[in-house]
Amino acid sequence: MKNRRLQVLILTGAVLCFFLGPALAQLKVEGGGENLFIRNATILTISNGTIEDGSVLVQGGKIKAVGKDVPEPPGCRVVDAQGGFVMPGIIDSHSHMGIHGNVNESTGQVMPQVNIQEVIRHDDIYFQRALAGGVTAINTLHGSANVFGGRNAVIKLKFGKPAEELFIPGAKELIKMALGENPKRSRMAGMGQAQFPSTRMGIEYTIRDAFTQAKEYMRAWDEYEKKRKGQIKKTQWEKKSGLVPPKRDLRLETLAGILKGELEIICHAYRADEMLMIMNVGDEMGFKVGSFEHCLEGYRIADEMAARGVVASIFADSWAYKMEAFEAIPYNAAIMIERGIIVTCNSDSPERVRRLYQDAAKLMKYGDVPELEALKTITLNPAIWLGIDDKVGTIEVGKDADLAIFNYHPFCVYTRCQMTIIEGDIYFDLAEADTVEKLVAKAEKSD
Amino acid sequence: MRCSVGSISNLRPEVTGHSNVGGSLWLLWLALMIPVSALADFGGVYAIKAGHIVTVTGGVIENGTVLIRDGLIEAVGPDIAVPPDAEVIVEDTMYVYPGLIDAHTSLALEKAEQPSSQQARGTQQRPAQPSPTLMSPEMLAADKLNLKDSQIKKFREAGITTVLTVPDNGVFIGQSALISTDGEDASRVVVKSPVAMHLGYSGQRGVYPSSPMGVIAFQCQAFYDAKHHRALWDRYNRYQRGIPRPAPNKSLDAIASVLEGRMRMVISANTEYEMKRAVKLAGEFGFDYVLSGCVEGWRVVDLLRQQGKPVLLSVNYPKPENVTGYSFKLKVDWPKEKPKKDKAKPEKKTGNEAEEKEDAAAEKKEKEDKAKESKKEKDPEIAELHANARVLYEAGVKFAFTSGGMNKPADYLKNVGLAIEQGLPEEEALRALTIYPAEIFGVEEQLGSIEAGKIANLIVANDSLFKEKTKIKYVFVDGKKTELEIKEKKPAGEAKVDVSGTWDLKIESEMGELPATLTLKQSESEVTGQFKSEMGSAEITEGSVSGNSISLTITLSMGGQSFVLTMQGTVEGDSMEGSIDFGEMGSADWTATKSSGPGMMSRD
Repeated sequence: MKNRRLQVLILTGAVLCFFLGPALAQLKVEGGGENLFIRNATILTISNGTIEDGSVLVQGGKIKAVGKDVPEPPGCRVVDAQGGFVMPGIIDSHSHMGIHGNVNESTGQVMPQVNIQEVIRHDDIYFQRALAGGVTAINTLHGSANVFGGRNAVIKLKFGKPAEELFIPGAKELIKMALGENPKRSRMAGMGQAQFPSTRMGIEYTIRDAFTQAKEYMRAWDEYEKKRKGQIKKTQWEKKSGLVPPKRDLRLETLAGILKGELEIICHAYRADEMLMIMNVGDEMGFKVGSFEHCLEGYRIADEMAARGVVASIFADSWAYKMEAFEAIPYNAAIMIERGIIVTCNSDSPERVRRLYQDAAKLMKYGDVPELEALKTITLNPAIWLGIDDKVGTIEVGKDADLAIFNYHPFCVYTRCQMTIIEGDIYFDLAEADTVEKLVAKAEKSD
Repeated sequence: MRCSVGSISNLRPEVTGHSNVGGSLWLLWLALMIPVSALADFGGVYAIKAGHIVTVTGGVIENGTVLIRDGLIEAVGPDIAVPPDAEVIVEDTMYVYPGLIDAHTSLALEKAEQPSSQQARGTQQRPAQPSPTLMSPEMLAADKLNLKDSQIKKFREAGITTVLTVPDNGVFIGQSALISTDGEDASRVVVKSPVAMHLGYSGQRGVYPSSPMGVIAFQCQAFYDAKHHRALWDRYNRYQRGIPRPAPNKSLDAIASVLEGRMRMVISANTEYEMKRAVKLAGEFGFDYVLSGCVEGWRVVDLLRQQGKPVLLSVNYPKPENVTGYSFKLKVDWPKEKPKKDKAKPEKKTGNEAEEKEDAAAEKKEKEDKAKESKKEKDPEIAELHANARVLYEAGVKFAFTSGGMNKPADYLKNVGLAIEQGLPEEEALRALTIYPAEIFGVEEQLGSIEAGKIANLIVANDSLFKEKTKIKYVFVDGKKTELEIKEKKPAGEAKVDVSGTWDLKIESEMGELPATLTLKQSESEVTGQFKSEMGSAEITEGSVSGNSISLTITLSMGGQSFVLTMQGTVEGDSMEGSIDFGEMGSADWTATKSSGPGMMSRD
């Protein structure tokens, strides 16, 4: 009973704080129908400047029109944004949400054969929380417990829809890799046994060894195919007994996919030396690093990264939050953007994902990144990196209607996400969500 | 029996040796007629004259007779002549049913040699040891039977006369056996073996595969390996010269038998995800399969219908908060009350003058339980889970029921009753307990109905099987009669201590001291309550106190896997000590001291 009172007290306090803040008018959805019309909004198109007092028309889940003078068609749902801001749905380029079971298959250092796409959990409650922060899509990943982790999944947060409807078709397939402390720690969570490697040089060896095996695997298959087609002579015995194809090995096949360029590497790394190492090994063995995740020392090797077209997916801050991150600086993103690197700002957390717009704002405040460039780090840039910029990432005619509506500019500290829309469907509506008052009422009722 | 066996061995040489002796013809007849059934202990000859014989396949025979001989049903019908050698059981008001089948259990199996916790975790010197059921598709459950399993009796007394048995965890687990719950005659306990190969989704910590995604990759790789293995051997069997001899591999041979259609795979899949994954896997590799579990079947009913295969349907209902999609409801229902624990009733038996008082008390308790239950019915989330069987039935999915690893076999029928409450027709429920599993396992000529020539597995109950108060009076397994005692047994030992209250528990594990809290509530010898520790909190699923010893069973779920912890100990005043068994993760000692609760002073 005492606890309940305390709970009510805390909640009441929260309500008071809430009202002491800026007034928040709730958005209303009027009318019905499949199509959606958002009016009276400041539209951050990302690709085409900012449109004040504009409208967005959504038909069949796609953006049909955007601009100042879009006529409101009859018979559709209408949202009056009340002068608020509409931006493209936020994309988190590094997440571990929506994964059924452990995010790490940490029982070995080379586990590229596992696939996050096979274990997507569509009922992760954090999806709803991320939606409340304007996030509409995530790149959800294997953890960083081992040098080679599994394949990624790029999904939309259509909370309530079956798992198979979440995937964004045509998104890049990436293999998670990890350098530095996480894979080299000898006693990893869940495995608890000393294992190779325990140094950064051991990690380099692990990478070389894995790709050497993959090359041998490719050679064996190549030889088989050539023999089958008669391009190479069969042995006298093979002529009589027939050919048996080499064993299909999912681990080596995936590594071979990287060498063939069908898969890109998404590489967890903090320090400049390890990032240089893997880029050099890649040049030598013929694979491409797609992105460095976290990449807090990216500013030191920005030219080397830019030359190879490597994406940097960073934390907005987290400077010196651990030894590996000790040399991080607030200007990391600004320097890399200036050198022509595509920079995305990620959460890596089901909690931080709710306020990625604030993280992007930090890039502007602490690193002097221009506003548009900062906005791009959570919209267009992750879309480009994940190969989905033909569908999402900006507010343009023909793209998916994945939109977030904020009452103030998303970089304003007082801003709140009011509505989150995916393909024209409203997945989050602040007016419909359980408010603090409602929670208080419920708590009192059940007392 | 021994005598008869002896007599045949004595007689036979005489018969063959002196076949010209005219008088021995009579002896020969005697030798052939009498001891045959005696040899293998087929039970006796019984004629059950009962009010209602529910044959399942041939309607209900009112006031009929079932004749049992040599462990088989010799005849059934309204006008069966009772032979003079039959023991006649007359139960004019009672119901005879075929013995129930439980289509998926791990009954009567030797405990697999699980690696100790240290081995499973691995150490600096020794790498982690994989569990034997990760890759043992060739293992035959029939070779691992342990008829000393005390659960056999409980299954039999719950009316379950046949079970499919196979270890319950692992990935490529092994091949199941259909066994009868006779439990005494090892030579005849197996009805069919192997029945199917079993595939699961439970990986193991510390060893590949440990995560669900690892398990999926592991399964696929094993099928590719088996295909390649067969291809190498096919070539080698055709042509040897110049070809390296392939390595033999029993596991891959076994998996290949599924790929080549010689054996069916039973895939344990309970959740929406697992069912989808299983159907996808079977489609990818093109093998015949049956899903087992399917407690979330209603969520993917279209998939289950389209796949066109029967399922083994568990009635071990999950908790609503563990069901896929639960979070979608949180939007509207938050904050949510936790569902009340479903407290199992003790099995009650019919009256006896001396026990009337107890009966009255029991009836009162039953009323209370009923009130609880009717309250539970109103919870739409729980009703949705219980309605699983009805939804599948309406969709035309054929299913056989399984107890799905529930602790008390007596709950099997009770939980089927919950499905009937939600609209599953009783006749369909009965078929799913009898003839359907027999058909699915290819033993419909032997089991699943009361028909002449089938195995005499029968139950005789005092009322219609699905009525709550119905008691089973006789169980026949392979023609052997078990008469269930009517008297309510007193608990084995009366509790001499009261453990109710909160206890600070210290587990002396290899990883150091693990603190935990036990909140116990004792009612006579039964103990309920909660276990809380860093590992999580869990209900005590079974608990009892006898004399001053305590025994608790706790089921912890961590990361999608459940661990059964069993604690044994002795109570002395406000302290307890004993040992805890973590199953495959080893065991440890524990001590506990009472921090609050009644009887802080020792009763002694």
